[in-house]
Amino acid sequence: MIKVVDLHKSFGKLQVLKGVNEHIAPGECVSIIGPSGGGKSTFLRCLNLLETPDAGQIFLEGVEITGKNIDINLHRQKMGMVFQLFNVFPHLSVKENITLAPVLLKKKTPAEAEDMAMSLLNRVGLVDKADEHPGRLSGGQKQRLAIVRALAMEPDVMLFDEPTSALDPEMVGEVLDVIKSLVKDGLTSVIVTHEMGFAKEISDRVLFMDSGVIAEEGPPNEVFNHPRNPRTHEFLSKVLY
Amino acid sequence: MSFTTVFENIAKIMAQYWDVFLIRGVSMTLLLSVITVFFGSILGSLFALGRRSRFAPLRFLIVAIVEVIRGTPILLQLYVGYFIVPQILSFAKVSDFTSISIALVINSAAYVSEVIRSGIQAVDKGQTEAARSLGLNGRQTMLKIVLPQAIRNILPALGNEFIMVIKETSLASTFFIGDLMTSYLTVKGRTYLSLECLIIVGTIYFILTFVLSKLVGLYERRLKSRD
Amino acid sequence: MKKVFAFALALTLLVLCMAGGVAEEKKVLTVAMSPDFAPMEFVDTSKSGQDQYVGFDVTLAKFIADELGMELEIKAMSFDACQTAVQTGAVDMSISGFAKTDERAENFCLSDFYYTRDNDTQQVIIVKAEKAGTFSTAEDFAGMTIAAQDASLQFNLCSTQLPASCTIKPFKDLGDSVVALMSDRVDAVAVAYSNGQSIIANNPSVGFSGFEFVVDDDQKNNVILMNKTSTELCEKVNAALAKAKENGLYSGWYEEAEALAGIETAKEVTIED
Repeated sequence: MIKVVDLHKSFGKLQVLKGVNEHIAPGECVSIIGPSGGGKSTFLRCLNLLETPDAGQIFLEGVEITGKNIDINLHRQKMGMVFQLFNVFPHLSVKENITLAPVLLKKKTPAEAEDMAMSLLNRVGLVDKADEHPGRLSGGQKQRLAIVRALAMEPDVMLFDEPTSALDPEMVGEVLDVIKSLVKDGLTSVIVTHEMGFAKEISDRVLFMDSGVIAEEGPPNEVFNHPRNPRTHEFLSKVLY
Repeated sequence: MSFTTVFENIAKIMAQYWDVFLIRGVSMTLLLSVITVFFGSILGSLFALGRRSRFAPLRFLIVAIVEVIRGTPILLQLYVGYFIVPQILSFAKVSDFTSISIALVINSAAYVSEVIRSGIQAVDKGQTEAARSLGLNGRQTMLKIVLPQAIRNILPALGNEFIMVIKETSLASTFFIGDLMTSYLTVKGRTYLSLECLIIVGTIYFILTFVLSKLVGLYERRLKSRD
Repeated sequence: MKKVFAFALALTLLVLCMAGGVAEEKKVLTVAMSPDFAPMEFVDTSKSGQDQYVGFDVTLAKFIADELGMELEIKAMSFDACQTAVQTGAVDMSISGFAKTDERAENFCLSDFYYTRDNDTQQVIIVKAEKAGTFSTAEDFAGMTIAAQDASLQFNLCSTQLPASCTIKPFKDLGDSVVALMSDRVDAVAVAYSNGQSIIANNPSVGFSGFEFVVDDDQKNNVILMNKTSTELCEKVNAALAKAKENGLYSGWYEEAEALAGIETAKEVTIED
């Protein structure tokens, strides 16, 4: 589904990605863990070109989206993204947040989009908020809205950038539950997270990123219980208790 | 100088010249301000748009215009408008009013373009990223996501620009354009009662701007309460 | 997007231009003046358009335009701007009570003198009413602060004829200097006699000091400013001025202007020596 070859990215003099290679299969759920500044978010943001890589290639379903003459907007429609700070649209109602992109990009008629919005809101328990503005939602509700907003484009893959980091602890669960149910339905997902228990439970594969490279990868059981790389070991011993 | 004399003189002046101040002066000041802010907003929006253009010379030109306008006294710009614009547009026979308006409009546009630019910048970058990640292109993102939010920052600032412009149009009296300050010059020029005339026009300017700033404040509160 | 941009820009300019109106075919004599100087040039607030400008200089301008067979158009602007307007060629001339100075002679083409009336050759000093008439010589002003319009004939006279102990304070505007006098910021104001009359008519708390400057013939009267390059026009203007003087028109014009400005000409104010 996604293939990444020798990805490099620097911000000024700071080298953030130093040659990342990765292959994500359809239906797979991949969690990315690692210390802050290790390049996790930058890697994720490179996948849909919110950050432009300096070197390397990214293939989405066989098409090189880092190539020239690519309409990146078309490819972004196939990748949903959920942000740490929700980034819901405050000037639109909850329902409009969901219907805006599918209607504007001609994926759906307004009526179809509305039907879908309501069923998505139903799925995440926000039907009664459909006509409210996001200003009235809690953090957890905003993030659930952000998730279904991305789902409304019917993406082939979902990218989650620390989806629960900005939430109050009591709201983390409701968001993780939504993500879990998506993964269970077989949606290809890449999740940058600090929730180790969640990553362990849900992932098919875990990537440990440190200093701009994937330092270790494998099934959650192996990475969490028998890390081979000393840096993984050190990191996990700090975050697991 | 006794205050009673001043007040007596003010009463005397107002009895004879009230229409010069309240009707001619006020209406011309308001007309000039409305024209300035209206066309200034249009041109200022175009400036703001041009500053985001991919065509570098256009960007450079607009930045240069904005910086020169903001960095020079408006009186100087009015001189340029009055003496040079008619020569450039000699085919069109521009009137004094038009050439002064053009100078005021360009001046206002420079400030408005900054207001718009900062209004757009004040919209969280995450909004753009969210929109782009959904597949919206740059233009759709600007029109559907960024601008509607920026407007809320921009409109109250435009109201304040209007208040500024009302005061700035007073400099147009250098060319006896007929605004409130021209009324002052006119009446003062034949009565030689400067202080009294200044108090009169000062009071009128204050009432105009005070009422407007209250209206802008009211509008701002309404915007906030909608969030 | 670029087309929208260009279109909107063109539209804005077009609308602004249309407000300018259509070109006029008749030969027009454009004259700049600063109509805040009664009775020389001021605004009749009951009228509008060109008719609102009245005063001695306006009558003179009309006379000159008639002599030249042209239509008069007055352009009102500040005193400073009048000079800029002549220099840039935005107007044909400026008639605005200009005194002859060396600097002006250098930068402009100046007409011959024109006169208001006989006693207007007088340059005087006004003071608060309670001190009126108590001054007779320049020494009487020793140590005082005297206001005069910046770059004016009066300012030159103050600096050359008043004692060195005087402080001479330039004002941009004659009206402002009167305010300064009434609020005791200055002790006296140097003015042309005619302006002094206008001021006193409106401010009973001001009076003539009794002192009068010694004025050379060269400094006595006003000139018309024209562009350095307008020598031909200058000749025609001088011919018109000569005709006005010959026919004794100046005094009548001046009385008319005074009447319009509300100065009681009947009650002739004389300067006591």
